[in-house]
Amino acid sequence: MKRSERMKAQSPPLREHGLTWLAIVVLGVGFAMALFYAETDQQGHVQRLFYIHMPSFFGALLAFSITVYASLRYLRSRDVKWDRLAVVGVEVGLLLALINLVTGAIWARPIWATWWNWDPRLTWDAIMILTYAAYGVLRGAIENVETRRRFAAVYGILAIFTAIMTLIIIRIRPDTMHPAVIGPSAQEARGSFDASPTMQITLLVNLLGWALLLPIVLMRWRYRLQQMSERLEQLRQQWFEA
Amino acid sequence: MKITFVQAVMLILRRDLIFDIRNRQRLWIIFLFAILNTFVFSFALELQHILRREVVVGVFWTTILFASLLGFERQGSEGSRQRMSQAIKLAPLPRLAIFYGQLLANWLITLCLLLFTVLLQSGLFNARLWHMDFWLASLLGSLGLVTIGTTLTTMFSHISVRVGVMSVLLIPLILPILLTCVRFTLATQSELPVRNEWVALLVLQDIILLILTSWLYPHLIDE
Amino acid sequence: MIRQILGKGRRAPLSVASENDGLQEDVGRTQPSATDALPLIRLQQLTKRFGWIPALQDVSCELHGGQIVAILGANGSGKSTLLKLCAGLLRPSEGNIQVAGWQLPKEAAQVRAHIGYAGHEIFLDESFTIQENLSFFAHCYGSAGKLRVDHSLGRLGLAKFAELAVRQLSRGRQQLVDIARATLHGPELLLLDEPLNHLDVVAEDVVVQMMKDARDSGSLILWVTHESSRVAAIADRVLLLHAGRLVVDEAGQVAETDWPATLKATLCQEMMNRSA
Repeated sequence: MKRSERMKAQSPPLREHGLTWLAIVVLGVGFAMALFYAETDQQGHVQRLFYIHMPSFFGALLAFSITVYASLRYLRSRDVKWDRLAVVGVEVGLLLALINLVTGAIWARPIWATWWNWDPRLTWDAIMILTYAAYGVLRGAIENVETRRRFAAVYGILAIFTAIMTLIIIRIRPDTMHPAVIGPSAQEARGSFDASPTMQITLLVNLLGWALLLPIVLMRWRYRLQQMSERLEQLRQQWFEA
Repeated sequence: MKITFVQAVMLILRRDLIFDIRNRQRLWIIFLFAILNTFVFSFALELQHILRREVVVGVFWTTILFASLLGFERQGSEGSRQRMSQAIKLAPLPRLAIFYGQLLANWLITLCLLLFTVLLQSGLFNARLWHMDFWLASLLGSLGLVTIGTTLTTMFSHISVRVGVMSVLLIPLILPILLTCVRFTLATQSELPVRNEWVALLVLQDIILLILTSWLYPHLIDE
Repeated sequence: MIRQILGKGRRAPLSVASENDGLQEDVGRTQPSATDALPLIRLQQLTKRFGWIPALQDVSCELHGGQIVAILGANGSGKSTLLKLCAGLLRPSEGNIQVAGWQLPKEAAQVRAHIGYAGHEIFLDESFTIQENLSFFAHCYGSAGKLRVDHSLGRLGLAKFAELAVRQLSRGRQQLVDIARATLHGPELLLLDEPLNHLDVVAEDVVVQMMKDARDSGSLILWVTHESSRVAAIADRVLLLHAGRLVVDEAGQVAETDWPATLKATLCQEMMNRSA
């Protein structure tokens, strides 16, 4: 096979590029809308971080949910592709969860006069991040490949426990300062706001970008990278064995 | 004659308890650490001068968490126990019976640790840790702790680099339970009636964890 | 099901001996006839990879009860892997493995009670006595009874060490106790990975006799060994593995073949083939 043909066979399909460009466009439009289109809230311009902060949380949840699903499928079928998908879900989910946490801290500084205040929602969010960060530690600590995949799948499913508790706890604990977007905020909440039509549209566009397109695109690219990395490892091992 | 589920659970429970009592090393580690941890926090937080109820509750649960963690690390790394696990895998025992037997053994030891730590810290800090609501929190919280600990111990025995890995895996999973236990225990210390939501939350966490780990355990033990 | 697989003339599946019963395994032995029974183990294109390295490749064969099958091969040829697959300890990467018609490892729970495995490692609790270890496993297999444990120890010459902790024994004696553990419940399928290692000549003869007795009562013994010189006198069939592949499967001329020379010649030939 010629080099050019090999490269063409290995290059990502057109839809990969199409989806990536779509995500870039939607994110760009969403960013622009957040800066220029949406009304300025009484909190000031710092409120605009909300259009990244909230969608990135749901993006992280989507990625972690895909990890759980892929882990379940792996335990059932022991097909490597599901393990690959689970790893990718954790990495992308962690990235988006960190974005959520950092944007939240930047927003909290002027609104709550502190970067961090151990509010239940923040705390549980941080716990969820720590749990999934441990997933990477677990994978790195197991030498046997099959055992690593199996245990990582088990841990990936167990870890969703913290994500579930994150969602539940904010409904149970009335003493959270974090404003609720869906439903009424708690009495002690600080920083809630009424979303005007322009804000709602901006939020929807950013939800499409951050909560759906970005995680999917990142996961697809990362999946390809993981696949190539495993193929390289396979060739390396087979070369040494021969 | 085929062994029943309950017989299998009791068999594993008995064996694990006898192993721990006979070897004692794990028990020594747990109980000594509980004492040492109490002293560390006492000095670090100057508890002899500032006896705050919230701090004592936090010290109590931190002691339980770290002492149990050391116990699980020790359990996972014992070579003899690892080899026996392989042999038990070969035996025609229901997988869940193995899990529940180990879980019950760990729970009994943790309850002993709780009792010991309550006695120790009630005396040293002159704290009011003795009452029914507190024991309810301890019972439910420790169940969640050993559920995760027992599951991770099974994983741990297959991990090559062991130092610190158990802590990194266990603590994030146990934090929800720890948080709830601390808040529940604090509520029991106050004059106000204990809110049912804390009990409900602990029970919910235990149920979710038991269901999840029961379903996942056979995948851990069998290829 | 096991009875059907072993066919007519076999002993009944081992039942539990209570404290007051005589031991039933000595009763009703008949000469097995391997050819008229369904296979106890069926391997179909069995492949096992660790990561990307194949430990076993495309191994197919059928093994019947009432035989001692010796598995020979160089280091790393896949012998222990094959044994662990038959025990249900490993999952095949490709292919099928059936024991008594049950698919492993998915349906392993159906046949675990009929499999005995003794590997390289000693699967015993070092802080417990021999008696305690064996009683525990006897309970696990539903074969609880002091008589059974005592008989097992007596057969291997360990009766007087029953109250010693395992850690107090020599490596060879620990090996014997582990074999006792694996044979305690009278398994129809006995998997032994280099059982004669660390044993003195007397103990070796005891273990070999135990294998023959099990064979005579209808069990299938898979015996991984490096002692190719003893294979002719003991085994009824020989499987030779090289680089994970089954290169020799001999049942007819086992006693007449010079196995050390055959092994050497086969390995050299395989190495030449690979380098060509």
